[in-house]
Parts: sequence; structure tokens; C-alpha cells
Amino acid sequence: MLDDLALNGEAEEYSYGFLDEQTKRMIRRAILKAVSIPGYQVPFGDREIPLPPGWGTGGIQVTASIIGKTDCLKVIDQGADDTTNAVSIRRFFARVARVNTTESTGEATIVQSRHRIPERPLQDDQILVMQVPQPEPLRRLVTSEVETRKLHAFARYGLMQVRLYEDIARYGNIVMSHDYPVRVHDRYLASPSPVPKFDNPKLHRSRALTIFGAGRERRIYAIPPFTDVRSIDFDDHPFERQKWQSCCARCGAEDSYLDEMLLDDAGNTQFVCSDTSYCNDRLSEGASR
Amino acid sequence: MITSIKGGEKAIDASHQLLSKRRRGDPNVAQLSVEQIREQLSLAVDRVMNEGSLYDPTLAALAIKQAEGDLIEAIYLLRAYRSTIPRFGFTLPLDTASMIVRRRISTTHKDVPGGQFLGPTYDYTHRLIDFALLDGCDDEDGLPLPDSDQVEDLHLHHDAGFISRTGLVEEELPDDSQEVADITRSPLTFPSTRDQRLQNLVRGDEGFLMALCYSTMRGYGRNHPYVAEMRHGDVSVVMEIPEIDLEAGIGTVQITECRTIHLTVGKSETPPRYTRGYGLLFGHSERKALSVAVVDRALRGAEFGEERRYPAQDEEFVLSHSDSVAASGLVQHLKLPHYVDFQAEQQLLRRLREDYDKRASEALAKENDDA
Amino acid sequence: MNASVISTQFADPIHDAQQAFRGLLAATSRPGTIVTIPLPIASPAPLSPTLAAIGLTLLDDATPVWLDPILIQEPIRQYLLFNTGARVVTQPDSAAFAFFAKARNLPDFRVFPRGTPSYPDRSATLVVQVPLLAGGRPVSLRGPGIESVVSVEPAGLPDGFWDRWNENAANYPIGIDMILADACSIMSLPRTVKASF
Repeated sequence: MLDDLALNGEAEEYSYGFLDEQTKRMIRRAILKAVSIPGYQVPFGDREIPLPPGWGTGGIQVTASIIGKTDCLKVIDQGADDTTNAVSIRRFFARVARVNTTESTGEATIVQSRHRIPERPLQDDQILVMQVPQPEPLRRLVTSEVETRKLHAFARYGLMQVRLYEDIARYGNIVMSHDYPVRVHDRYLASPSPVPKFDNPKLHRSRALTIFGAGRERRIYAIPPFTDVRSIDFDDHPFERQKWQSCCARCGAEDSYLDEMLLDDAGNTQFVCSDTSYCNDRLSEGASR
Repeated sequence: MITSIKGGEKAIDASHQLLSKRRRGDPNVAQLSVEQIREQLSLAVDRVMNEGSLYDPTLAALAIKQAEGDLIEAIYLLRAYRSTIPRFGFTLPLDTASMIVRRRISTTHKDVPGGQFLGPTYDYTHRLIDFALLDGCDDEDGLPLPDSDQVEDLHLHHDAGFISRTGLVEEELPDDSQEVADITRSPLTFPSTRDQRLQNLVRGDEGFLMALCYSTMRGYGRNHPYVAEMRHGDVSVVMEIPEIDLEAGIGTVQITECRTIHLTVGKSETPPRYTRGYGLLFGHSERKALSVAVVDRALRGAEFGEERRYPAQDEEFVLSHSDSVAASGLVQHLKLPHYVDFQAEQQLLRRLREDYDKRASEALAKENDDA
Repeated sequence: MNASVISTQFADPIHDAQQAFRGLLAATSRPGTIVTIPLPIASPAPLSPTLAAIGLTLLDDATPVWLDPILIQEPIRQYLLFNTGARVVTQPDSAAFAFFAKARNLPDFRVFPRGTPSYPDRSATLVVQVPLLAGGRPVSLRGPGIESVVSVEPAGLPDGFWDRWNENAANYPIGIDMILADACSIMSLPRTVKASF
């Protein structure tokens, strides 16, 4: 096709956003179907890209297919911009898509993330791209794809309820602290990706579109803005987020997810915000404990 | 300072510098050229082309050089490059019957129509380290290099029918106009089709496939293979250009083709016979071609009413775990930080532990009371 | 092949297609919103530049396309084949996309693929030209992507359209998705949207 021939018209040796135009079109179509069927995992033809599968290739392919010259990209891993994988992905896009990058959640038009959803609520003009290792929430219960597909087709999610209830009966708690399954738009059971369950409520009626990319497993799914996202729970055991006794040792935040940092060889620790942008914003606004 | 584990930017740069340095090795030793790898490590190049799904010996050699000989890393480099190449058309199916044969054997018959040609193979070498190669002088054994034109003399017409004429072997599938699946474009679906499976197996990790093949031979899903034919040589690649209604030769590729046949008693309503397995690979890749053919047959069990009991017979198990690039990626991702999930889990564990301690102390108190 | 077929791509194929896609993504994730997208320099009439832009953005050799009786003309077929690689099919049930020059040509949605319970994504997207995305009879839309309710008034829809639309939405997750287009803008109706009027 003509536009594919124009690939190398750009000065760089690779096409814009790394992926060729045919691949982007295929992923773009999958994204539109994913948005039209919230929480349903759309199969897509995953491509190999220069980062290894399992390291965010699904998210990278989604970002590569949506990103344009006017975008501003933020990439985080574990909530932080300066973790090595985040740096590596951010550099990749700075090179192949020639976009501006940022570490501030507020400035970004696209946020690609692994394992966290930013603390600062995302806005209408922002897109959150989540990297997903295992998109199938039922996989831990049923190994066969044929079977899980049937369960989704008829919304038969009793198995998951039973599993969670068994936890309560056996341990008094649901033994699942991250990648805690959600029900999207009252229909599909979906994985929020391995974010701590602390982050689950942020998906509920978020102002921003969230797109999930699982490269190795070849699935894309999405949660449009203002969509109901309910974490699975029971009347007598309502869903609970993680809570901390202490607040952030840097900015004093009491409402953010905290990392435990080792201070010395004696094993003394301190808690600080996992979301570095949120912590820095609070500090520059003059908050501290 | 509490942000001690962050600051990845500098660390990555330094790591990449160390990598380049290690790749170069001792600067007093001459640098390896891509041509040397392509010409002298050609079997490694073949493996990278197969699992990388791209026929380009020079690029594969470059990938091997860049990856310091780590073939899985090299395969990944080639795959990533492949993603950037637009597709301009499709070639016709390779006509393996008109292969210019470098090697061809059949194990089911002493002689076969067209003859057997041993060709280059390690099969019958004595595995003794050849210290003559240590000095690296050219053609140390003094033998003249074989004349490259000799290959032309081995032009053989493949007699695909000879094995079928025994009357006991499953017919080869006739040509059809069905579109061939492309698992690099459309994801695999389950239950899978044979074209999807064969592609997946060719891209699959050689070690994994060999182990699966080995497991069937050790009783985990026996399927009684014979090598009806193994051949290696050159075939032309012909491209169809429908716009101008033309078929044009665009070059030749080296391939290895393996046909296995397997004793199959099958269901009561089908005649007992030999059924087939098939493997077609780039370059000279006999071990892999054999493994692909045997696993291909193992995965066809449902067609013949065989019970699915062992790993090699389970398509979801085999096809979902064959890819070395995917496997290496996920395995190695364990090196990425996971402190957020660890934190969440640790918190949960503490809570469970508190409950446990409470129950234990209550039980102890009760025991003491009872005593 | 005629020269106008070649000269009617996007001015900047890679970046205009990216912007057009972001328009489609914004429209689909916020149903009822009117979004402008980049248009090609020209398009073979009666295929409007907006429909052509959507075609250039989403079609290729993996997406069979069905054309309504007004659009099914040789220059349009050639234009799509040359610029996107998409084949025109005559059977609506094999189409991934269907293009309509007039909303009144909309047949029963069920003649197009609506996906299956296992694969609801294997469904057609209907791309429909309307005279204007405003000025028609107002209806209220609800569903994912809409904060509470949004009022829209696309013109030129046939009588009974919104009843048929609600029937489509009632079969969720199976169903078709629709994109309405006027001279320079689009509005998207994913199958999750329900109308009240």
C-alpha cells in the first residue's frame, strides 16, 4: 500500500513508532473493538518488538499504535519513572516516535504503566496504557483457553466467586493482594493487571480511557471512561483496599500506596509513596510531615 | 537517602557500555566479521532464521554477533527486525519436489526411487575434538574444497508418491485453495489447525521440541515414528504478482524437509495404516525437522481417536509454551522490580500471620486451662 | 488506473492516519461526542472525504468491505483497493466494514456479522454518511464513556432508527458498531450505547 511504501521517508531507519502501518491498523482496529466491548479480551496479532515479551510488549504495541507527534508520554514501573524498565521504554519511544516525555502525571497525554495506576486522578484528555502479563483472570482456575472462552461467552463466573469464598472460609480473608479481578460494565470479568488492589477503585468511572495490552498472550482490552468497574466481593466481606499505619516519610501523604524502603543494614525501614510524581508534586506544593 | 534503588538512567547507560566492551572481548584478538559467522557458523545461523521466521543469513549472522552468540537473544533481534518489514506479497508454495538435493535419506527402505545421498552430516562423525582446527589455519587438512558446481549434479526429482504406493500410508493432502494461516499476523486459536501448528512448531524452541519428541519416544505418548524421508537442499522461491499476472523467481532458499510415518491402528471405523508427520525448516536443521514432524503427528491424535494424555499430545500445552522468545521474556522478567506487589503480599501475609498467632495462643491458653 | 485514484491519499499518510485514528478512538470512548478528523485531499464521489478518511485509517487487506448501492462503483472499488488493499465484497455477512452514503440505505443490522458469544469482536463496523451531525431529532444516549447522559441530534437518520439501534444494544455483547460521519466530523455509536427519546 502506498503509505507503507512511504515508511522510510522519515530520516530514521525504522518506521514511525517502530511498528509498520499495517500492524498499527490491525492493533487500532482491535483497540476500537476493545473499547466497544469493555473488558472483553480482543485477540490481536502480536509482533516482536525490540523489548522481550513479558517486559511490557503489549503496552508498548498499544502505545506505538496510538502515539503521535503531539503526544507527551510518561512511563512508570512500580509507580516510578526512574526504574530501569520504565527508562528503557521511555527512551524507546523518544527515539522511534520522537515525542516529548515527562515524569509528571498531569502533563502526560499517554501514561504507560506496569503494576500501578497513578494516584492523581487521570483526566479526559489522558489515556492510560497498562502492561499485562496474564490478561485472563480465570486462568489461575482454568488452564484451558477453550474453557475460559466458554465461561466468558456465558458470563459464568461462579468459579471465581467460589474460589474467593473458599479463601474466606479457610483463611478469613481473600488471599489475593494484587491482580484482583473486576467486573466491567456488569458483564466481563477482567484482570486490572497486577496492580495492588489498592488501585482497583481508581478504574471505577475513571475520566480517562484505559487500554490494556498483553503481548505474549496476544490480547487487548479496554475500559472506557465512566464505566462501572466493580471488584469482586461479598455482602459480608466487602472489598477493601490496603491501608498503612504510617504516612509517607517524604511528603506525608496518607492516601497513597506506600513502598517500604530499607534504611540501613539493621533492617530499619521507612514508608514512602510508590508514585514518585505524586510525591514530588506534593513536596513542591509545600506539603511535608 | 531513601531513593537508593532508583536512578535507572545512569545505570542503564553504564550497563550498555559494559556490554559493548564484553562483546568485543580482548581487543588484541581480531574482531569477528559477520561474513565469518554466516559462512563458518552456518548451523547457528539456520537456527536463528527458523525461530526468527526470517530467511536472511547475513542478518541472522549479525544478530548472532550482536548477541554474543546467545541464540535466543539473536532470534529475538531478528524477530523484532521482522516486525518492521512491510509485506508486499506472497510466494507460491515451495516446490520441494524440484529441490536441488544436497542430502536425502529414507529409513524405511534400503533404496528409494531417486536414490539415497548421504551428503554433509555429523551423524557418522567420530565425536573427537579435532585439534587441527585449533590453529585456525585455512584448509589444514590440505584437501581441495569440493567443487561447488557438484551440487548441480544432485538435482533429483522428489518422488513424493513412492511411500504412498505401499498402499498402507495416509494420502498426502492434495493442494487446495485454502488460505494458509499466519500466526505472526493472526493469533493462534484453539482448537488449532494443522497449518497454525506447523508454523508454531517451526518457530518453536529447538530444545523444547526435541524434548517433547523425546518424551513420546520414552512412553509419554508413543507414536512409533519412521523417517520416510529427510532431505536437504535448495529450492527456488517464486512470487506471484497478480496485478500483472506474472510469476517471478526471486531467489533460492536452503531448506530441510522431513516426512515421518507412524503406525496407527486408530478408530474401529478407519483402516489401520501409517499416518503422517511433517516438518519443513530453513537451512540444514534435521534435528529440529524431525522433532517438528513427530510432534506434529502427536498433536493430530484427535483425528485418529487417540486419547490425549501426555504433554506432547496437548496442543494448548505445546503451542503455548514452544516459543523461546516468549518464554525467555517471561522467565527473565522475574528480574524486574516487583516491590509493589511484594509490599501488597507482605501486608496480607502479616495479617494472616497475626490471625494465626492469635489462634495459636488461644489454643495454647485453652490447652493450659484444660490441663 | 486513473491518476486521481493515486493522488487522493492523506497529505501526510502516517501522521494523518494516526490523528484520524485518535479521533475515532476519542469518539468511540466518548459516544455522542462530535470529533473532527483529518481528511484526504480529495475522494472519488460519491464517497465523501470523511468516509474516505475512515477507510484510509482502518481498512487493509484483512478487512473485507461492503458498499451500499450508491457507493458500489468501480472508481470507489479501485480507490479502496489501491489505497488500502481492502477487497469489496457483495455478501454483507462477510464484511468487516460496511460503508453507506445515506443512512436510509441501512438494511437490517443482522445481515452483517455481529460476532459470536465466544468472539463478539468478530463483528462489522457500519460507517454511515449523514448530512449533518446536528439539527436532527434530539435523543439521549447513556452507556460506558458517557458521564451520565448526552444529548445528540444527528440529521438524516431513517424513521425507527433508534428503535433498531436499541435492539442492537439489547443483544450486548453481540452486535454491530456504528460510526456516523458528516462533511468533516464523526460521532461513534459502540454497541454499549442505549438511546432514549
